[in-house]
Amino acid sequence: MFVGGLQMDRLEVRHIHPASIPGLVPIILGLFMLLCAGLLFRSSITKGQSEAADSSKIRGNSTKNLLITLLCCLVFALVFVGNLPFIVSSTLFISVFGMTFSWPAKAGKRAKIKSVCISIIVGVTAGTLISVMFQYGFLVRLP
Amino acid sequence: MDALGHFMMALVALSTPWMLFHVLWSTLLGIFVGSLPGLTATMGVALLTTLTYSLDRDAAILVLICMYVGAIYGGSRSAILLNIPGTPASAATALDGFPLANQGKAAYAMSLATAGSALGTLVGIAIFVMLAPPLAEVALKFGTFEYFWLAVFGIVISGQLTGGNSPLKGYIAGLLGLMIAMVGSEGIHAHVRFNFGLAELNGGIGLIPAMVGAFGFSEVLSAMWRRSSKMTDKPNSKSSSMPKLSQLWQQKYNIIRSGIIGTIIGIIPGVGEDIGSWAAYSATKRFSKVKELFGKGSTEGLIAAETGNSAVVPGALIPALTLAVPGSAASAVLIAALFIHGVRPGPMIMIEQPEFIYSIAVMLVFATFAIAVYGLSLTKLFVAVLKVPRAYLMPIVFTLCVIGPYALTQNMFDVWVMIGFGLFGFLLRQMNYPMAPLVLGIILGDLMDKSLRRGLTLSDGDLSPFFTRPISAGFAIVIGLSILLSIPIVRLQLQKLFSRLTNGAVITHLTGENNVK
Repeated sequence: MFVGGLQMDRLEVRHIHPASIPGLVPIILGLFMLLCAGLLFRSSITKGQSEAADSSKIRGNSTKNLLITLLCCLVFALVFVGNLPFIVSSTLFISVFGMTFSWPAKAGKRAKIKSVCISIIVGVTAGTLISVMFQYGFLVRLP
Repeated sequence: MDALGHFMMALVALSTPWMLFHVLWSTLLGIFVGSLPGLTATMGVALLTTLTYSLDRDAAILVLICMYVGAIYGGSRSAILLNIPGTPASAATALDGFPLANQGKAAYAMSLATAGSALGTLVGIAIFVMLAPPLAEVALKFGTFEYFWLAVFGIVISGQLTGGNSPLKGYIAGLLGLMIAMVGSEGIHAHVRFNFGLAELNGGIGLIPAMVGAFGFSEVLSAMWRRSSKMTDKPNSKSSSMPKLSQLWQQKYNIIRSGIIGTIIGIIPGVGEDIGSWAAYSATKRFSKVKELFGKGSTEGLIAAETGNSAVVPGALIPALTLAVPGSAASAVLIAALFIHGVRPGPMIMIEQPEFIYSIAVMLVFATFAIAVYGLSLTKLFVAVLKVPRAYLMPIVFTLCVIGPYALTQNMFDVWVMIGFGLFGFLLRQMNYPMAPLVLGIILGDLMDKSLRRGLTLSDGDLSPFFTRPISAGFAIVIGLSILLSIPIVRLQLQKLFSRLTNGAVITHLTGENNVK
């Protein structure tokens, strides 16, 4: 931001006041960010050991769940939306997401079929309702 | 009398069946959003903003305010039953609410929380009606120099108060927000900055996609990352769930004090409901005769926390409407929604639309009555809502996160912005950076940039008006002191100095007494 502000056009051809150049605030922000980064770096060195103990709270979380969520969301938003009709992509996304996270791996066949059925019902209902609401309620041309 | 007249006129104008219908559904939706861990008030308001494009101005703002009030109140449900605050605002509620639930008094705790929230909002509304018009009048005296300091004040105070043990992280979040606001065409010479060759960035980064990403998508990621929580095994009790009026009357000072504290915290830019709740909770603990009960199921603590966080809502709307500076993250989204619906918040609001502030007060009153009615009558339903699996809820929330920002501009670029801000917000949260200063930075960046450069142009490059005009000087002193006090070494030295002075005064006092004897 600091370098960008320094290199920014000063608009001399337009004879603007030198104090109103567009890069002024980015330069100041860049300087303050450098200062804060330096201070944070210094404090992280002194606090390094005590903060390492805090990482224990992250251990209770599920990285696998996070990565699957991230994958599902990114595939839906960046690949499906725009390439498939929205009603299809949203139904597919909600159903697959629900199925993935409600899958009873250790349970019997009956529980698995139930999980698949519920996920599909939720997916179809929510996907259709959201699409209809935006398309006909708010007159949005869906992607 | 004039204020009362405006208020009554707004009450009559808004008391239509259609408006009351909006109050009913949006407050109920707000309570659901707030009660589900992972869905916050800011996220609810941001997502609902995208659903109000087609509503008229008053209906849209009413819906958003009901969502805001409902969600802040709704957070207490999961705080009491799951020991997980539905929204960050209810963290203090969980301290005494969950122990009460474990004692078999969950329904009673929820009723107390309802009464606290409703009364807290009413205290806040009273202060809102009294303070907003004079503040707008004072703000009319603000020039470009004062607006620059106001923007800096917002970022500094918000960064300091929300940064917790590390105000530096709060400042960095604020600076990041300001940097994001530098993207796109600047407001004085229309020069395009930091667009990286993308024409879509010429107009700057949209606030709604950024907020939906930072508060919606990042919450979806956080919610799925967390392990699921366990509900208290004693949610229903056979004892009376309704607090008696005499019990509430005993808490009158607690409610008034917590309401005032919450509203004042709300007025401070970008601080928000969680700080309001903690501040009210600690003040009540200090004045309590039964301090030992706090954290073990104190009704005083529960009421203080809920009154404090709910009173922040009207408080946060005071600077949002009169200065266009949000008091909380959710009110920042409300400002964006106001612009979308043709309302220009700022000091001119009392001149251009003097009745609007009273309309907002009436909307807050409607939302308060709705939370009181729902809170006291639908306890079992809220317990059932908490059992909705995240596996089905989160993909629906994410679908709304995608289609909501797209609906405004019908441009896929806004979906990408939402995704980018979601990932950025998630990373910042994991590194304990507060989100409120970031949001405030995005909102105030343009004001700060224009005010500084315009001020320097007016003074021909002279910095002195920024420090010599009375209001500017006041802001500069407060900001300087705040930054100084956030430096640990300075704070330590000051504490030493104070203790030395106090000890010195005590010794002098004792020596004087001995001499007299």
